[in-house]
Amino acid sequence: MADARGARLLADLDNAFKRDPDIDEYDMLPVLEPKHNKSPFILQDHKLGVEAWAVKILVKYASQRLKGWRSRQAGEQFTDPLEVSHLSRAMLLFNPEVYTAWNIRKELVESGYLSVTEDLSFGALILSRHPNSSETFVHRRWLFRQLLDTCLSSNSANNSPCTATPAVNNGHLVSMGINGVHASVAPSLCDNGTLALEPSRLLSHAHRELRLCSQTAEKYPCNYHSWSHRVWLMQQCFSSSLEVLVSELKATESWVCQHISDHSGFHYRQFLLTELHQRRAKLAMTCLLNSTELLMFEMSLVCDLLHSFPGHETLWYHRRFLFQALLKSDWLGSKLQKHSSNGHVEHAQTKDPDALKSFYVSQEIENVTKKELCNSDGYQQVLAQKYVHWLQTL
Amino acid sequence: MNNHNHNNHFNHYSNHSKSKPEEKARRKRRNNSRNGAPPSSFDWTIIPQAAYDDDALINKKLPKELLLRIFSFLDVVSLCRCAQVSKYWNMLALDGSNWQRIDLFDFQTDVEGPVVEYMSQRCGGFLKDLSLRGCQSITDAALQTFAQQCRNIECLILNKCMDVTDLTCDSLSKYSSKLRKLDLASCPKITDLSLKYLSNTSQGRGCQQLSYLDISWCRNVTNEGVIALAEGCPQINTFFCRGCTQIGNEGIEKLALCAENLMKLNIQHCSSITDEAIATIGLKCPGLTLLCASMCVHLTDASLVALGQGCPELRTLEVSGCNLLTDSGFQALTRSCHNLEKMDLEDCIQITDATLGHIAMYCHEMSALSLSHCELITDEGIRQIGSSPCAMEHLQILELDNCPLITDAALEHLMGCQSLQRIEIYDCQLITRAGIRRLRCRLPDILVHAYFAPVSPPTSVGGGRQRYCKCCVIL
Repeated sequence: MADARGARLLADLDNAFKRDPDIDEYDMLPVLEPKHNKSPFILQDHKLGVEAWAVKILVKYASQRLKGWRSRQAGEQFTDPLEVSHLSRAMLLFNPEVYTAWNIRKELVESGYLSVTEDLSFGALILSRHPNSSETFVHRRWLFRQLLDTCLSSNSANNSPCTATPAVNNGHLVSMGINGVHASVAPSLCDNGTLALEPSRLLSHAHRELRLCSQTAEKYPCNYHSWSHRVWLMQQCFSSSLEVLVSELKATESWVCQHISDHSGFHYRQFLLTELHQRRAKLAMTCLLNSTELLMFEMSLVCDLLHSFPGHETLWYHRRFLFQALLKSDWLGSKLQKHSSNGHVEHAQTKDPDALKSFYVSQEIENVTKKELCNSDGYQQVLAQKYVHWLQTL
Repeated sequence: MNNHNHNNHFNHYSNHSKSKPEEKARRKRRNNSRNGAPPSSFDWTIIPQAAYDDDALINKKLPKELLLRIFSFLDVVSLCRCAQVSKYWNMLALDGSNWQRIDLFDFQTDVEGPVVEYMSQRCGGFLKDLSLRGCQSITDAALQTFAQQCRNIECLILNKCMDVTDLTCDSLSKYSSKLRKLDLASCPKITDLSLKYLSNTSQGRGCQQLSYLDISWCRNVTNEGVIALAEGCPQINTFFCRGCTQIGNEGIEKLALCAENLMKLNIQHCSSITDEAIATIGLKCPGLTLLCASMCVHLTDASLVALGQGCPELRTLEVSGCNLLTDSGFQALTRSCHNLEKMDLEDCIQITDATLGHIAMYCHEMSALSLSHCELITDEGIRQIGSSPCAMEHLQILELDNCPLITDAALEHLMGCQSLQRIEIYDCQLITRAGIRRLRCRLPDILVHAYFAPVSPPTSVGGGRQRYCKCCVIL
């Protein structure tokens, strides 16, 4: 009996999406029993509301049919692919962690019944309600992989009469001649229509992904999956291009100041700083930036925040990272230079790096003890003490 | 396993190529071995002594003919398993007479060319009925072998065999002169050429006896193909071309003109069809029993008038989505077509209670009526249906979803419909739980489909069955 309603609810959901293809938000309405013989789907202003009682029936029906289709049960295996995509949509809207349904969508994309852009939009809709859904992000990465592959294949197929940098087999946007976030370069270089279209389309998708990452990070505190996705985007889509990394650093600075307990956000900055530091030579050449200076700036930022907002463990951990990074970096070298400019001359050069290290550690301990340990906030004192202990183990 | 037409089998068995004298000779030889005389040569037609020595009583008790008869009920998988039991059973299970009807539905993509070819060789002239529905790896080459080997094929289903092209129809036209039923639905590579091959009756080729053809969703077929088909296969009585949007008036009119026996026609989604084609059908096809013209949005009342005038045998009419149809058209239709059993009027938004009145008055066999989204229908129309002669005994399915004016009163009017199995009232917002409950009291077996949670059927009052205690026999 519940089956009959399941089919009808699916039809209603499909009609809602047909009437308004631009639905951008949805949620469940707390209606536990249907009071009237009315459809539980309410559509207004691109927002979809679903009464709570309908969800279980719909999901159960969808999962039953998808299971039948997948296991090729008699009668189910001939389900029209469009229908299958609608069933998977119904399933995923309310239960996005079921990766079987995502895999079914992958199959449909591969056989051409579903387009990548459609699926990306659908994923964005799901993230509006489930910003911390790991499977959604995993699926998005797969879709991006598909996009990159098709872009590459079309690139190599149209034997690039353009003067854009030929794509080597690493599938990165940048290798196709797009530098950083300024897309205007590549299209104009090429007179082949399709090639001119693809990279800029990809870039707009990549930008949309970044926006999505910001939105989901905003909606859900410490959104590990969202920030990991952002890291992946940096590495795969923007090819860790230095300009992009630097601009990201700037962009996230204010966000991080407003979300000082969001460890994932700080971790992202750690990733950026590490990347920049690893390629500091090129960084110095192209962007005229010193990675050590960036680290030092970050350190001062963190100390500032620590002082203004006592009692946030995240900031202390960030400080640990920064201190270690500085220790390993040329900070020593630059400090050495400073010392030499102060007149310690040759002695500094031959000083034992270990001794130098302990010197700075003790300096740091001194700093902390002076400023933070005498803070009135009890928890801040505890954290500061832990930090000091940690410093002593270095 | 599909329902087995025993009559067909029996008739064929008696026309078996293994004639009676041969049977008698074999029986005689068997009796000889029973008497102890050893078989002279290793002849597979003689029942080996081993068959009698083995413990399977079945081989001793049942003569070969009965075993064959039993095997004739089995499906492909079981037959193959039986063939592995013993040499004797192997011989019987793979006997051609068991393989007249083969349905490879459950194997889908696992069935490939070599399987079909091997089967064709084994079954040869016995095979009359083959279903390869959903077997996506089947190719033209395999089907050509099949056509060459199985010349007596009458019914061939190639639904969803994606790789099938016009070459298959060429093979069929060359070898399968007895073909009566051909299903090529969802084979996207089929074009007009296929229909030309099938209807090419020159040089002793072509499938002249073709009476059932389904080319639904073969989008490349155009009017040309249908015209050729009509000219070459005048025995067509069932023609389905759902989703073949290129087929228009020309093709359908030609078909109506040439096919005297046309009974079932499905032109769903052939949106270019207009009243002219239906008018020709009305004129030329007096035997029409099923017409599905859903989503042929250009049809107007003129079509219904034509059908009323020309097709009194009409039993099923589906015109969902044809929103130009009005009451006057249905009045003309129902006045003449008293045999209508199934009508799908979903989305015929201009329909009012008047049409229901006409249906109630003239169509006494009505068993399935769909009025989804017919927003002008009110309780009055349902009252007329409910009090009509058809309602008491015949009305089984009634769909009233998205008819906003329907209230509990309509359900009251339906309480006399003893055969009513299912009623759909989704989105009829004036219907209440109480109304549904009252209906279910009067008609306990009815399925009421609404957004309300379905009530589980009440448990029967009093013990309907005898209860058994483990120690006593009956309590």
